[in-house]
Amino acid sequence: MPGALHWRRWADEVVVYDAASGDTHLLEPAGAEVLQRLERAPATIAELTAGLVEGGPTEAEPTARQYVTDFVARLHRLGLVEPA
Amino acid sequence: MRHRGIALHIGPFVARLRSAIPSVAEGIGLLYRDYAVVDDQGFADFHVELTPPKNLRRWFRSQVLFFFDGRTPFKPLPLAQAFPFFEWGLNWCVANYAHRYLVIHAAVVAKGREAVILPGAPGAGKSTLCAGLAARGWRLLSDELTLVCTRTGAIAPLPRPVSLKNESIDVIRDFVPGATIGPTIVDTRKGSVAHLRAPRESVARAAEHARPRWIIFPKYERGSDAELAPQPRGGSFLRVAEQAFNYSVLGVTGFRTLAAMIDGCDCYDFRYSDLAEAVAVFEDLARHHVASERPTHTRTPGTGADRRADAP
Repeated sequence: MPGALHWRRWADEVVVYDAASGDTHLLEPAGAEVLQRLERAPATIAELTAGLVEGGPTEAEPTARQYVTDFVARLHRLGLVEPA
Repeated sequence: MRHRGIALHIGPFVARLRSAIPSVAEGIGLLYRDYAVVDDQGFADFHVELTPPKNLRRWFRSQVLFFFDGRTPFKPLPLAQAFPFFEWGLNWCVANYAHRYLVIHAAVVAKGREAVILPGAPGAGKSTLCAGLAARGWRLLSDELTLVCTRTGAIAPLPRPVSLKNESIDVIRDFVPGATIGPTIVDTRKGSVAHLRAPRESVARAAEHARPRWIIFPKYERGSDAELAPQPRGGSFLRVAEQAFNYSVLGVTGFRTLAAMIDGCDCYDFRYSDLAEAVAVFEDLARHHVASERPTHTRTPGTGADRRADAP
């Protein structure tokens, strides 16, 4: 993770402040979970997907994988994550 | 005001003003008569001066310059706009230098100790609504700049003349018969502008902070019924941040101050067209502390406050 993140959560919305860029982002819970996972340690798309679908129906996995792939790409564009 | 100027205690600030322009002195005399005048030799937060330029525009199509600490941050305006220029310039001073507060482009009024913050872009109707509420018993804290103390989260009042524009000037004249309103200045970049004197009580109670309780995004819509629509806190956070002049300057402090404020507030969109109906909705809100969609907020697991990522 390039910089320090600061979080606030309300019901189904999460706001995160990136101290490195000064940007503030509004995330849905799934996206926040992905970013918080990456904040703790590097992870692959597969690992992030598994974390999202854990305990859920297996047919959700392809959708979750696509979501994670797209979301991580977005995070990269925003400068919030970088390849390990 | 010509040589040594006048130093006024305005909310948490002291502003020292010098000007030989008659309309400025008249505006101060009419609209700031309830404000404490501070010792000549004392500290002032802002030193401002309004004066005609020294070139030909002093005499021909006369203009006025705004000086702050000896510098001119703005281009000159027509001399007729001198008093509004003082108001706009003072807003700029506060927005750019008062960094012990999160400064939000929002009106704010209070009932008791609880404040309702009205953020919005120009033209949303917040000043008109603010003036209407102040005329019906709500304490005016500010019509333009909401000051959120970064240390305590409380709102510091900055009661000043309410800036009315275009149709709202007559709306308030009708709603508040006998109100003290300064001259209408036409052809400004905001159209026609006039200033409503702040209620004396609001000025007298300028040292009494209030707790933020509601954030209401007003929008005047001709013909609409007065209606509150609950809004989620996350989206409201971003909308308020967009209206905060120094959110970026304050960095993490700005984020934490705004987040704490959002924590304690119910957030709404508000449409209105009739000022009396609008005031009635706000009175009902204050009476019943409407919280129909108040979600239960949770903090990020593992901390009692913001999480902080370790550097990679």
